[in-house]
Amino acid sequence: MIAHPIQRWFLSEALRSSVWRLGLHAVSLLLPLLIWQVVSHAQVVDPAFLPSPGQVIDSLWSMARSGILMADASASIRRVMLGFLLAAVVGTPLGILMGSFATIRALLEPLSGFLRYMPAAAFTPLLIIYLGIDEAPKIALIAIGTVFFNMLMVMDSVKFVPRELIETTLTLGGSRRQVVAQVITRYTLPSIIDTLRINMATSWNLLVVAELLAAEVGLGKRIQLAQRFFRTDQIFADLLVLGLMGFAIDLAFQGLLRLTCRWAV
Amino acid sequence: MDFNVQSLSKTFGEGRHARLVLHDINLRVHSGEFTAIVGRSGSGKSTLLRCLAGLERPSRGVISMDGRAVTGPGPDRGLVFQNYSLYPWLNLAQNVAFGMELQGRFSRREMRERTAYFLDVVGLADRRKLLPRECSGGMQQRVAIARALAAGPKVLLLDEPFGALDLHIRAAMQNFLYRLWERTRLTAILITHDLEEALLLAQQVHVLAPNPGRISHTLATNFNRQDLDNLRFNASFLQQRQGLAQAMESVESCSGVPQRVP
Repeated sequence: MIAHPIQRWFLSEALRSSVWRLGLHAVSLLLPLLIWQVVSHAQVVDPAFLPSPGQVIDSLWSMARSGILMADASASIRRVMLGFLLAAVVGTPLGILMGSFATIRALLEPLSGFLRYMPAAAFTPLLIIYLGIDEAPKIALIAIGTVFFNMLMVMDSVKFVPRELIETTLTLGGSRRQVVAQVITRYTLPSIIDTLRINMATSWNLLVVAELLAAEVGLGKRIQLAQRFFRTDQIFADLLVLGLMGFAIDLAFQGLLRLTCRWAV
Repeated sequence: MDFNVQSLSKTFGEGRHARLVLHDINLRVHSGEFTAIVGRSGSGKSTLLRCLAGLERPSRGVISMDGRAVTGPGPDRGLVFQNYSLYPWLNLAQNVAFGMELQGRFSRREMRERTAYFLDVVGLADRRKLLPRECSGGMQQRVAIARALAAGPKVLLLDEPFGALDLHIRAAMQNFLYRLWERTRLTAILITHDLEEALLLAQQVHVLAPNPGRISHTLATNFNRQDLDNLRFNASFLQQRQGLAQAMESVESCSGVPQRVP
């Protein structure tokens, strides 16, 4: 008997048709929306607990019109960006140095491995005592919670720089400084961008923790206030905004990767 | 140029785990000469080349270049690895220019001219804008050679440069390397496990016997290299090749020096 070739999915094989891929993307987003609509329409759950998509959109619209949404979103984005940038500016070079030099790795790896397991949120009371209740402790919390992940993940990616590439650079007349700055850093750039993209999610998580504590504005703060007034529609609306902004940032990082590292994608 | 290796030994590990890899190697490479070091895998030939490049420190003995001891890697000794090792984010021309940029002793104009010249020498002038991943293995290795030469070394070290290539491309690359040598009269040291390759290209062939790696035979070749493709099947060439292969065989069957360090 002649076996009939059967088309199956293979692990991490690219989908051949982009229509098919976009279709799956659409299903991934639209199906939960549909279920939500059906469940809330059927009133299986008390509408006070589960608002309908329509109600959430209305609530989103009214918050947008009153300017609350813009104020919240811009305050939140500012905090996330400052904390995240701080963690990137500190963590990336340290990670590269740790990956490149055994001495620096031996010096910093135990410490950062240890600090990484202290939940960043637990630092909040201390940060408030040290830094007050303004923006500083919120930004610090986000930075602390992200920086150690950056360091360790960037350090790991340096391991994948081929030894021959480093040795070639030395025989071409490159100094150690040039090897680190022009070869190791450049070679790991795609991994660095990916690391930052992944750890952006950590920053984003900590944002809400930071805002729950002491804030005037911010998406996290709005969620907390909405809970107090039992405005589940507002909670849903803010969650939606948080998700969408995170998703947009993720896409931006992917675009950045394609733009700067054409050789690696 | 005077590249000199005196009683070089290399031991890996310490104490009970010490393993002698190279024993009392003596070499002298003359300017403009093509030298080959041929040996089986495990003969320590790559370790020897790494010592010459300064990437590995000899346990004993001295390597000197024009009277000065070699203490580390430097642009006077260019290196080409088996697996090309091009910078994946740079196009071919940028790869060739990279060594000159690192050194900072060439003017913009010089760099442009040298890049163009060496790309032309390796026959890739019209592919200058390609990224390494868009090129075949043979092309990538030609770029690696051009990059090493453009950096202005006094001697070019080649570590099994064609080992990763298909057989028919290998032959073409051997021809290419010989023409390159004829044209530029570079001083080259080639490491290979392929006797034919060594005899075909080099005026001086050193045979490295294993356990520990030591030079068991040295011979000077004197073939008419007008047509390498013919030479491969030339009777006296084949005869020498066979004689050398037998000599290698006999050396390997009886171990020479004790393996352990006393």
